Amino acid sequence: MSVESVWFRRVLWAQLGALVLAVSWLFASNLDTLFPAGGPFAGGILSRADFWRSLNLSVLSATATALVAAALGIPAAWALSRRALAWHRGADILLGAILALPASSVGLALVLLFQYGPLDWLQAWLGVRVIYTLPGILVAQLVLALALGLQAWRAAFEALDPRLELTARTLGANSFQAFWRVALPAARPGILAGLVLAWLRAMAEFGAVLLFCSTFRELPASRFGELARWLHVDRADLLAVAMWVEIEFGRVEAGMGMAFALAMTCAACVYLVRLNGGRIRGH
Amino acid sequence: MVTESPVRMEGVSVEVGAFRLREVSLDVRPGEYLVVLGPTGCGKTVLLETLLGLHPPVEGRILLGGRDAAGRLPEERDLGYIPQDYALFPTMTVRRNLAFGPEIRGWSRQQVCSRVEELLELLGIAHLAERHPAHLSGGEKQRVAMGRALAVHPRTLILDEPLSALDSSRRSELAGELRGLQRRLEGSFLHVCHDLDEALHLADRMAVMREGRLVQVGTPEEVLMRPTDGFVARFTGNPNVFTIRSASPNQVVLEDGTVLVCSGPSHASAVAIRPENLTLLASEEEPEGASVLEGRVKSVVRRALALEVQVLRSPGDTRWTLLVPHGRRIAAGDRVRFAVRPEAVWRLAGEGASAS
Repeated sequence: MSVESVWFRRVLWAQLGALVLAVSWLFASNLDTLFPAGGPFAGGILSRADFWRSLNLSVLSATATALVAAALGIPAAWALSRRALAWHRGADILLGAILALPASSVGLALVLLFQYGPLDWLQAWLGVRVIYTLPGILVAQLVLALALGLQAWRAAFEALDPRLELTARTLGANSFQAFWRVALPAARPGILAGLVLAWLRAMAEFGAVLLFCSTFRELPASRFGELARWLHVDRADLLAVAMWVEIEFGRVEAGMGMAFALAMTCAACVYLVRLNGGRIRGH
Repeated sequence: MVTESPVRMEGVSVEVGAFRLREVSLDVRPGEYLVVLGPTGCGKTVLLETLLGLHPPVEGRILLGGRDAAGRLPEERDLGYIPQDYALFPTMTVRRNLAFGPEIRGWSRQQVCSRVEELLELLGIAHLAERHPAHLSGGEKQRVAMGRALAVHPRTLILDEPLSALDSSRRSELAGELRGLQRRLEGSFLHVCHDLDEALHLADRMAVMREGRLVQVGTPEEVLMRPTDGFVARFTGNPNVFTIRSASPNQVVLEDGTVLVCSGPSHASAVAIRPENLTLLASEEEPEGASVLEGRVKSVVRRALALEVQVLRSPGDTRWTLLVPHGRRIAAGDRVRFAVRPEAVWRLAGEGASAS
């Protein structure tokens, strides 16, 4: 085993240790909130319908965002890694800026774009409104998740030997078949890593969503569409936003409980993917 | 029997970034093993990629099976490709790798199966069928890559340094395997490499490349014995390349005044004399018709097949390399005499000794 991989493992273990400590502390300090004396559903956050709606909204929107990001980002990452075109540099700078800026600044930029810019006219022309609406959450999450996922997907394709695809083409595959049947499966670990990153980024997103969408919990149910009610995401905020609202209103324990729930959901996702990723690669 | 060239390049020039491939004309004959030999960075890979359809020529044309290849995509060229390091599809087993081409071309399931079985048999890799490429040795990977490329009956197989990833002991063995396979299939192979031994082992004809140009195309013997210029001579293992001061039909005078008896055209600018054709003389020996030169041994290096002796000519200061059988008593500092027979002197019309 190489020195790098020994160190890599140590760093991984250190991170895992820190995570376990943090989660245990959160858990220990939230026992009352999560499991109050009268049973888990008596008075803690688990008994609150808005908590479950928030969790539901977070998981659904993060999943939808990650899938849309993958659908847009994987082909784009492949194109970026295969051909050096003039607009690639521009795309690079833009993506770098989105990653480097605080998420709240990105949210503010989105507000400006959708409230005043050309996207405002586009919304008016299409007769839809994205800003300060539930679907707006997807837009804000998507911008950030896509920027992060794209980096991972691009790195995955750049690490592939370009001769893999050339060989596939000499055997009779067209460029799409070479991508779909050879490059994509060969890049699978990196693709999966990017998907998880995009999902986690969307799940944890707070600043951009708060600025772009504000909160929904105080709005009447009638303000939400049929689909939102059917999905049980009406009058709900993302868990990360709900947590902030709880703390802002002085309900620190409920906020901590939500933070714990968010951490556990993310950890469960990473764990499931690890489990699955191991099986996919057959190791 | 197809008689037209499966691959023919006519004055092809290509520009890739700052690199230029210049007026390359090359003809792969049916059933021939052609090796393109050149130092790293001379454009061998660009040449292959151009044939495969990655770079459109800015001049000249490529004929595949007699038809102009302009505008044809890599998948429409019918050329088998064995890349450096083989580029086996890592997520597929050996069997899936072999089946890839036939499947993508829409062969029936039965045709695919029988072709894969045939290839597993031909290459002796049936026992590896269910393995993934990560669990194969270098030689096994090479066979799988051969099988994958041959599966769809390409008109020509294109091999990019297929032996360079192997250690030297396996290289010669696998070169033999490649040659045997090509003979059995009677296929035409176009192989690029930078290794002279490999080229000599495999080639029916070889093409020597330098800085984006083909400088000589011929049989290995022609290239070794009658190089077109000093670069080819040196690159094919002949360090004895000397610029000449004057030449007449039956002798040449080197820059340091050495006179060599030989025949050839008088417009030559340099001569090349292979080390194995220089004979070390006993003290009183006077061979008839040959030029006899004297010098001092500068160094003696033991090689596998002979001693490599460097002699500093005196008078004059040209450095000559001789190959002397093992067992001969010779050491640095010895004064020696050696004979240059007229037929060993090859006059170079092209770029001479100054080129390196």
